[in-house]
Amino acid sequence: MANEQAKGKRRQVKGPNRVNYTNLFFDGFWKQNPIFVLLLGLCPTLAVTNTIDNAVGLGVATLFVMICSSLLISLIRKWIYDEVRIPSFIVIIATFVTVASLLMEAYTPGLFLTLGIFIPLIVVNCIVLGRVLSVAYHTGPGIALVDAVGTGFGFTLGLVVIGAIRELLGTGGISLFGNQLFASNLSVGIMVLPPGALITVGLLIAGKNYLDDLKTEKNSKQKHTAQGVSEQ
Amino acid sequence: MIKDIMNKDIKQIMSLCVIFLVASLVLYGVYTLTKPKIDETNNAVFNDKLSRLYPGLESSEHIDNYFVAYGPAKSIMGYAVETSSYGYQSDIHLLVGFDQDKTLTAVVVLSQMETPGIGTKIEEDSFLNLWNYKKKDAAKLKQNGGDVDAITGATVSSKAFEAAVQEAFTNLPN
Repeated sequence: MANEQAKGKRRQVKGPNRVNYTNLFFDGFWKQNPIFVLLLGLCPTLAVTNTIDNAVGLGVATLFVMICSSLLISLIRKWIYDEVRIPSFIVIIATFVTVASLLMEAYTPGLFLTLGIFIPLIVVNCIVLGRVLSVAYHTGPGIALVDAVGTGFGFTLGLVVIGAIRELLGTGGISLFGNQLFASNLSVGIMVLPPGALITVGLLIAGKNYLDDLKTEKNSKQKHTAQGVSEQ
Repeated sequence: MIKDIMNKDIKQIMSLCVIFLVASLVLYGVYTLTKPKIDETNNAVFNDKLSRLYPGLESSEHIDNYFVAYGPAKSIMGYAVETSSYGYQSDIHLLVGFDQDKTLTAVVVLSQMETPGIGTKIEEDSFLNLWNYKKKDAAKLKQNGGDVDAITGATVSSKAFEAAVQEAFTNLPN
């Protein structure tokens, strides 16, 4: 019964409306940004944004896992049974996380050691499981892929922005993959610690909401002016 | 009715089995492919840590379960033992350095995945330096009659560290 209901949902999505992939990408990237809108994956966010290098490392690893898992699960969704879907998802996600972990251990050992326990924790990152449950399991591979890419990039960009702010204010400089871009004596201690990260996330959410409100105001003002002109 | 239920159950079980089987094969494959590179990296890290224990290290030799550190002209600089002990939630791998008189000179942590901020304090110099230049009976936690203060709030990690250090003493050549 549940399978038939799921099949019905899939038929709806494959309907006559053409999917706008750009909208889908920006939906996952901005409008439903996992960190600043959905407030998911905050634990790794607080932990790995102390430097830009760590932020990029975990962001890319998570993006890799999201793309692989969403794509695979979307392709084999016909053979994943509804009642046992969660164990199936977790095994698939955990396999990709282990693959990513082994690749990092072999080719980026320094990053692997600094990220430490947060690489295996990608398995229980709510973002990965959440997208798979709500999107990849019910849609075709094209939509699942774009959604994973958009959300993954949104997550990575969020991590990098927070990381840049924390590294700049906390250590006074920015260093990218071994190259010290610049340094200073500035050192806001709290930025090096998780509470500083949480404060930064909060302020960035406020900033994003402000930008969104500005855009909505501009759009509605344009509508009113247009209406005013046409009424006359 | 019962046949329908059993049919569905069997399909679910088959589906899960196939997923698990394919996952295992993929993991085996990637593990085998990356193992040589990982071993190479670990060896490089190990040699780097060994030369940090013995500045001026020329070469080393692996005999039984210890390493001999050679300086210029094959003079023995000391002995190093690799040990590990299970801490709070992970294996703690140590490289314990001794001089020619079997006195502990320094300890280096090779790897650990203890609780960040608590168990990971065993890697801090403030804890590592407490073990320097100790003979066997002094290289223990204060609660066991030795000289070293355990880390507050990280008793299990500290005890595992001590166990690994004590095991290193027993692995030395006589």
